Amino acid sequence: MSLVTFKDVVKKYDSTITVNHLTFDIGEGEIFGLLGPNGAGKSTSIHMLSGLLPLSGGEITVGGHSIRKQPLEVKRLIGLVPQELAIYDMLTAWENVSFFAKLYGLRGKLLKERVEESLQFVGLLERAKDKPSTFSGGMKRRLNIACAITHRPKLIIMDEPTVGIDPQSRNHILDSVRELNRLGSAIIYTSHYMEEVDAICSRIGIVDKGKLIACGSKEQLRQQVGQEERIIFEVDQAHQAAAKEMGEHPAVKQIDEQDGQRRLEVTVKDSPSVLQDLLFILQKHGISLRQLTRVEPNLESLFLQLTGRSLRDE
Amino acid sequence: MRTWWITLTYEWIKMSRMHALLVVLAALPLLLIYLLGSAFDSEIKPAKVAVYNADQGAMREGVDAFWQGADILPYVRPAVLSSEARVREAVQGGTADYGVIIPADYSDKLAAGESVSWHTFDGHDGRKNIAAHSIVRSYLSQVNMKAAAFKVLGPESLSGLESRHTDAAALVKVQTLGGGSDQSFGSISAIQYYSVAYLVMFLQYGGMTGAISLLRQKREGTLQRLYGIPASFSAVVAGIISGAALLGVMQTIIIIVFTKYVYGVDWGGAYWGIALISLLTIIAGSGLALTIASFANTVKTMQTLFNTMLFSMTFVSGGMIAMIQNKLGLISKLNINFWANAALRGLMDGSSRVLVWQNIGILAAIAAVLAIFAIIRLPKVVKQHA
Repeated sequence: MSLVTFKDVVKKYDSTITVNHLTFDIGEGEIFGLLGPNGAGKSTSIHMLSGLLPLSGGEITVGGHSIRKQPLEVKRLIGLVPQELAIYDMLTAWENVSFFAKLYGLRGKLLKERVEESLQFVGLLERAKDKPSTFSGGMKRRLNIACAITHRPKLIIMDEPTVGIDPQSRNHILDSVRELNRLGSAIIYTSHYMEEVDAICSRIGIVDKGKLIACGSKEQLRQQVGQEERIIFEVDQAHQAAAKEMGEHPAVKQIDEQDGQRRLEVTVKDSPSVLQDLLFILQKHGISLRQLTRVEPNLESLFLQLTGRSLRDE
Repeated sequence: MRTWWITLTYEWIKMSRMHALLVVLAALPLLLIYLLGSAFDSEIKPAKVAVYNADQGAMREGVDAFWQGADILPYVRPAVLSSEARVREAVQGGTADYGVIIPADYSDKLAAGESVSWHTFDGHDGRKNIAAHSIVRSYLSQVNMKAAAFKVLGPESLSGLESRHTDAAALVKVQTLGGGSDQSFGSISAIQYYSVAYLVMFLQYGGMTGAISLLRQKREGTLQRLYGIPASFSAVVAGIISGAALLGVMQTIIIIVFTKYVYGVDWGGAYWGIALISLLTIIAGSGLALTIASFANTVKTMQTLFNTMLFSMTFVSGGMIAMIQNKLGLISKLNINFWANAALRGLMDGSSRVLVWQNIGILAAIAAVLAIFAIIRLPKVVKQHA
């Protein structure tokens, strides 16, 4: 059952279209990754979903409520973790969390319990009385998350929650995302870090220039790339004839020569069967192999294939 | 209502922890009022005079009556002590501004027709020394004159010598040379004048903190997060602005109570009127700050523009150079400060109610116009993509 539906959603600023007829849905209990380079339209889509921006066209519903007609009902179901550190330096961690929790209607004993639970969840309960100005970047990011989860939302939107933090804090946040999902919340996770999305998301939508260019499970997306793989041969001597013969193999799509033919990057289909042939060619020409690397297809290569650009191109 | 209250409460908690801001908003106006008020004030507070009368003779009663006389109270406040040592102690310790010892042979000398003098001790405040010394010297001049008359003309001339007091106001008139006459500040004193000017100026700074908070929260993303909560965003924004307004109310109370009880400023007693004028000034200041914030992209730009406007308004309304507003004519009247100052000073000096209400009315009109501007421009201040 769909928790979130985007139907033909458009966002325009004057004549510029930043979100271009976006259509997809997200089921309950899913971790949905929204992947795309900077300026692709991820944050704009998230802002429209959370009621921060009006739609120029189309419709978004959350839990059956329209963001246009029932914005308060939609907002009640959502916990937003913004990209910015939207916390107050002059308030303690406890006060930060309880401030937002009170605005979501929590009070009394329940408020105290939930604030404690949220701080415990992000590992900051022992620092509850400290101000964020004394926190590391990772701790601030975790507090940013705590402020969004006290009211136990059905949908948690995390807009690039790991920007600018150390690997340890990043791992802590990724674990938190999995745990929140296990506890029953659907998650929308935007990032331009392909590895993060690959690691935690059950389904992924790839956006570029405001359009959804691919959407599905990781396996489905990999199938879109096909069985293409890259094999990197590093050899002891340059040999033009060997490189030419490898390039003429019917399963080889492309061959890139580097370092004066001492490094050959070969893009192939069905690598297991081809690899044997290519190794035979090298042997035939008396070339010794120093290193062999096989690169499996991933989301990065899918994005590259679909757009001709890297995910982190600015 | 609950959203407004929660936002206001937390805004207040945040502001109460900005110690530098609180010092600027509360202590700085008090310091400026003290410095300018005392530098230009021609009135001197009565000197506390420690007196020990060692004389037990016939003239003692007359001397005591002199020190208890009402006509010297505007200039000196005598305190009779039990010994010379205590008088010295009081002056050295600063509990008295001036010390006077009436010697034990005072009556005898007078009875013998000799010239008399008292032992005096100067304190730390030169102006109060001059005031107290003038009182003592003038009194003794008259006594000695009469003693001389007694010696020449006989005992009849002594009758009533110590019982008649001279007019103290005629005895002493002390003024600072640089401050000019009382007329420089109209019908009120310098400290009253500057208390009003800086109350009005700093109340508007209080109003500015609301606009700064909104711009800062917009930049830091907390305002956007608040927009995402399932409650009225207007109530959130109103809570933030009200927090700053509450700061202005606290400022008013601190400045008025402190200046009244520590500096002795007479605010005229019409405290509801003062509260109304302060509230209108806060509204006008907030409206101006929010309007400026809607055109400024950063907190720094907003502060620079607002400070420039506020200093200009304070200057042309005579907040820095007394009564310059009389020379500037119409230009001095085209601002918040002029009408707030005029209304408050009117309450202080007991001007006609019609005049005071006229000034309050114009201030209210300015506040209303600025508030309407601010409401129209508010989306530009609070929304990311307005």
